[in-house]
Amino acid sequence: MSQTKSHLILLFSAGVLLLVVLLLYLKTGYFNTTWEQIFQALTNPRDEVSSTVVWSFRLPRILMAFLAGAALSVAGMLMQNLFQNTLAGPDVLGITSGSSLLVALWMMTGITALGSITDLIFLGILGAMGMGAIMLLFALKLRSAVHLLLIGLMLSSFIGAIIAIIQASSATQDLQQYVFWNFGSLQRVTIQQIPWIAVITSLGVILSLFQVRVLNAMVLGEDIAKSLGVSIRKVRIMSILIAGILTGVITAFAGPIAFVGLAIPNVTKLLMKTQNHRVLLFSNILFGALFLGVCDFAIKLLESYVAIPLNALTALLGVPFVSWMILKNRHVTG
Amino acid sequence: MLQARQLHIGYTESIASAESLTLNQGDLVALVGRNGSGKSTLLQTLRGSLPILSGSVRIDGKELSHWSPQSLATKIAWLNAHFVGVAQLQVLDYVLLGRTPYLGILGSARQADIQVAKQALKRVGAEHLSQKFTSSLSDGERQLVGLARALAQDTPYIFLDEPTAFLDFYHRKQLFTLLKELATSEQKGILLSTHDLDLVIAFELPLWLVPQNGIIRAHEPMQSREALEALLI
Repeated sequence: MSQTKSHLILLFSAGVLLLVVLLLYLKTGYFNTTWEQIFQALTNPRDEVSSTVVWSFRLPRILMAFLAGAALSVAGMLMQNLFQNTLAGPDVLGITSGSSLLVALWMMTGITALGSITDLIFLGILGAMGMGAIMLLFALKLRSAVHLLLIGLMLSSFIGAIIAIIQASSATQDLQQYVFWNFGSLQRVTIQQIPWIAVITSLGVILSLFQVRVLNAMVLGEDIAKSLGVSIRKVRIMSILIAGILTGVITAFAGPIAFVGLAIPNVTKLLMKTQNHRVLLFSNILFGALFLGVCDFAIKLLESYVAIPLNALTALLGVPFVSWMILKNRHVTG
Repeated sequence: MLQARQLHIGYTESIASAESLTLNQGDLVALVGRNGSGKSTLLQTLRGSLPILSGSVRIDGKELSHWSPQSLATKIAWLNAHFVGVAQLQVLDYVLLGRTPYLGILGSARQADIQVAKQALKRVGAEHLSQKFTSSLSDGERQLVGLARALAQDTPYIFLDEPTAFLDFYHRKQLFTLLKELATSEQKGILLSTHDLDLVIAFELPLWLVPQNGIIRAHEPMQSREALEALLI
């Protein structure tokens, strides 16, 4: 079987599963709904409880899970390509914490400039890109993956400390809002916000599509990529810009979601067995969306027994995976 | 024609210089010198990866600094000694990366590009490896497919940095033979840095010498290893 064919089969299966998760998700919850009611609510929403449940609670949350999974996975793919390191990702490199800092400042000090949604998006992206640039400066000096990860970890702690100070001196209500945001909370997103997030995520994906040529060449290292006509400076700027946009918008709305951006690009590469970034891009979108969709579905199913924050679940799944990755790569990295 | 005149090379201060060096299409030239003499620095400078301290390098009459990265990539292909393979990267896809400077904005390879890549693999006698993963190749196979990638780049000049460093005697000889053939039949101007003095002599290669005093110069093929070694001290 040719590689293209197996790629298509895998992507098609992921697409079908995505649809299945979507439908099951819409059907499941405290409030019992029949398939007719779901269908009714989707095609012709009326002033009924079932329509409200679907449009106000279930649909925005699952769509946000899909968008967040896709965006963070693509951001992770770009970071792993740029840093030439399979252990790179928006969260381990401290990029997510950049968003957290600005969002925390905004939530807990009450300073606004452009009106709430625009502020949130803008600050999330700005914070992510700022940290991306700082990490890049370190990456230019440090060749060792371990050193780079340590710096990312320390910068995250550093920012955590600043956030702690802001927390300690903020009002209870603001603090509570921040704590829930920090759990990784898909349910706070409203259906009106979804188009914003979708458009910005699509922008990141479209920009990535134009980067496929250079992303592929970067796989051979900067020196060879340069000899193939790639402008390294441009790649760096574009990768950080795009990863910043994607990580920033998701983090602003859903809080810092750990490990997705690290784990999914690796799983994708292993499944697709290719370094063609056009294939990897679309695969990361589908697999990332599917992963976070399934995670959130599991959280929802367990809700009546135990409340699991999204971030806790991704960490529970992510930490063993990353540990395994490090063990597997211990001869290569460091 | 690739020409260097009154060239001074180095990172911040001049570590070596050359009055006049010329690489013609069809030439296979060996760049020899001891470790740290400046061979790699010269290669880096000539392919535009390190700024020229002073002097000029011209490719087809045009100053090196005037070539855009992408157009320079259609003139000089580059192969280093340290390609260790990339996980999940198949040989054919790897060779296709040589087509990078010719791809459109979306970066998709056309049928013609795939043909060029297949042709390049065939030229180096490695078409049987095309479906293998680069990380699973032997050192000898990696150099062959690396050369195929350089050929797919379809440039008049190819630079190789110690391409035989990790090869056994058989593959060293095989690579030299192949490079000689390519220079003649495909009219490639090939510059390779090497410590394989015996092969350089056996293949009667013209030389660029990088002696310890840092004055690089072109030299006719040498007959004896002792004489060549004496020139490098």
